[in-house]
Amino acid sequence: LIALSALVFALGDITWAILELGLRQQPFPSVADFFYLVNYPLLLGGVLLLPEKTATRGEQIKKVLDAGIVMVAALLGFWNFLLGPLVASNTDYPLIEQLILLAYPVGDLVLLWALLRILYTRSDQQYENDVPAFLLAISLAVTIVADCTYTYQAFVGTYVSGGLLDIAWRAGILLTGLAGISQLSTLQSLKNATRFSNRLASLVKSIRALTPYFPYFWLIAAYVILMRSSTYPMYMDFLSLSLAVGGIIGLVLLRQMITLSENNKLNIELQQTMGNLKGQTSELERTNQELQNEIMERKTVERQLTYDSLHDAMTGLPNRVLFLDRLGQAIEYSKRRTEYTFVVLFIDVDHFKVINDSLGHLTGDQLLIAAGTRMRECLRSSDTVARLGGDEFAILLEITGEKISPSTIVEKLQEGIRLPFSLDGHELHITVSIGVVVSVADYAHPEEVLRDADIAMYQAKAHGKARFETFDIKMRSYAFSRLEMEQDLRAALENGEFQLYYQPIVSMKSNQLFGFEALIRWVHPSRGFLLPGEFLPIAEESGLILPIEKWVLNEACAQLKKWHEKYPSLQNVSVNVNVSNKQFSQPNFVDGVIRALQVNGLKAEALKLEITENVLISNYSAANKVFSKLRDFGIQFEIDDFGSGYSALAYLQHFPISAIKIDKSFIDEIGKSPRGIELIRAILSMSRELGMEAIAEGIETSEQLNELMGLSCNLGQGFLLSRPLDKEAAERILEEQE
Amino acid sequence: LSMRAITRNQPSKLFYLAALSAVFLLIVDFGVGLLLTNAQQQLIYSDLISPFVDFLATAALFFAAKQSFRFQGNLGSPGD
Repeated sequence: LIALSALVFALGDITWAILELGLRQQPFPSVADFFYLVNYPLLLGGVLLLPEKTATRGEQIKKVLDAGIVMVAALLGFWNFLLGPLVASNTDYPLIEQLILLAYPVGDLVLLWALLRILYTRSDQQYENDVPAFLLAISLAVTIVADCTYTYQAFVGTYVSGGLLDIAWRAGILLTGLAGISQLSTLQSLKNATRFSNRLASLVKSIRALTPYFPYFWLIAAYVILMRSSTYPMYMDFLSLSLAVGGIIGLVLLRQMITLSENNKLNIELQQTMGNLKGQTSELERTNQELQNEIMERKTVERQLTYDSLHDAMTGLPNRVLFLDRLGQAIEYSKRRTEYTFVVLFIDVDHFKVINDSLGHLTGDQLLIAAGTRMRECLRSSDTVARLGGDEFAILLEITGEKISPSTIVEKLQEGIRLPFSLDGHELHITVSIGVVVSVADYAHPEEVLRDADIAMYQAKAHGKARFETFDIKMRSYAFSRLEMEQDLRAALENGEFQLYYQPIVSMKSNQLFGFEALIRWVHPSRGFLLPGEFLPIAEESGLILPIEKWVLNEACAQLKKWHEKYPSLQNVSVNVNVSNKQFSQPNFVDGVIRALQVNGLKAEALKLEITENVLISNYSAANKVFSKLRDFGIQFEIDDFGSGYSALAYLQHFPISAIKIDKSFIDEIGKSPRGIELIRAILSMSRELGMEAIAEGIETSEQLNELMGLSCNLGQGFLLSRPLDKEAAERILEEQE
Repeated sequence: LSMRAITRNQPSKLFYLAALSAVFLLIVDFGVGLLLTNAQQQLIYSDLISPFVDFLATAALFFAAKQSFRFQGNLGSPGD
């Protein structure tokens, strides 16, 4: 429509040019006037169709009121300064001419309406850079001013065609065209859309900021006209002027009331929002406080969990995890600082199981707690004492530039531990075996250090306990060898690599066979023939001793049964089987022995169980039951290695012992010390008095044999009489005996 | 980023060319008006130049209107 308005305006100019230049006429009214007047509604239509932001009802009303105020005020001005004079001066013209003449100022009011429309609909931030609308508004303003000037000049007779006023009209139409091109560039490429320069943008912003005050400017202008009417005659009478100004004031008041109402509404909404926000804030504060409390609780729990995960629950000492962590740090630190060394002690309480079993687990636990405390007291606060589990402790000693001997510290520790512990009315004395590792650069992981300290500790145990051993590389190979041996032992049971050898027990006087002691041998696939001392300690530690001893018992019984069947006259020949502490303490030990006899159909007298004094002492309370059951069944017990253990002797009174086997150490003294012979004599005398047989072990020389015979020792066993024999060789002896 | 932010400070060459031409035309118009002292000559000049200027503006507006229809947009809504 705006383009169409420009076109009809151009047609008007062409028509006028034809009339003026071609026909040399200046008719009024003419066809050109028609085109010029049609231009106004088309332009207004185009502006009214411009898009605008969706406004609230209140905003729409205010905009209409603003436009109304301006229009009423403009009408007031137009009437008094343009329309009024025109009407008054042209009363002689025909009505049509008067109407056409008045139509131009009215058209300007239409343009003013269009201008106001642009100003009010484009006052939002959204149209900050709306160059096309801005150019169109300028174009309208220029045209309105030019039209008003023309009307005034025409009225006073000063207008000259082709003058500056014509340039103003052309400027107006050019600005409209530029608005079109601006819009065109926007449509063609948004990237290249026309923008205001910063200064112009600032100017446009300032003009926009004035928009809400326009009605007040026009109100003032209307009031000025009203005041002027008092001194100068106006074309509108005072009453009409007053009514018009009053109307404007009424519109302004209405606008203010709407604004006030909107403000009140906004204020209420604001209060509500503030109230909601306050409620939400307090809710958030409460939630925040709850969260803080929860976080604190979680942190406390987390700290406790972390502490629990790194400390031993019973003693409160660092556990294996924390110890390994500190040891790892020590390893790293020792690599960086040459003056820094560390020592790791692996500590195991000797005979702890005995204490635990005899005094109960509660006392055992109290002892461990006290031992841990004692260790801490013996060391510096910078040293780490940890409980690894069971009766095992580990200590990390960190030494920086100090000349401290690890052995001094270890001895101090052992001395401290040796002092008695008073627990539940008991005064307990304990010792510890300690494995020591001094830091060397080879270690990369803390587990390796602990492993070597453990190996050294086992060496200390193996060497008699209550001592310490410092780790050296040979120990590791020994430990690996032990591990290998343990694995081989398991395989040996499955592969039948064990054999029983039988050492005769004979009457030294008559050389008559009394029985055999069954002795185990291991035919190792790679190591060859192994004696018990080479593998039984490992079997005992690994728990494999139980199946091995079970096998020995069954195999010995089975073999004796075969011999009894083959040599019926030798039914009194018995077999001695050694029983370890571990086997003796098993709850099913008695059943196992009885089953072995029953399965093989042997009489109870055919089997004699050899136990050491230590076994009796360690299982003193349980031994009564075992002896009671087996004695009822008829099985006899012999004390092996008599005199080498505790020799408490009281057990000889309480337990049904059928024989004692005098330890080889006494036999070895024969010919060396007269006291040795006297001791043997005393043992033999005691056995006779108690009604027990006495068997001399380890007879290796004729001198020993003669001395023993001289002491009336009837039974003997040893290399001189016979080495341990395999079953075939033993059988030959049986044949000879038969 | 909005379209407005993307296109900020990138003026249309077409628009500035047209604006410069319009300013040049008005300067020439004003200059000729000053040069022509005769009222008749001024009248003739004004009657000839006015339709010319009108048609320039009309052509620009019609072209913009055509593009507006093409883009299904509305006049005066840049960036929407």
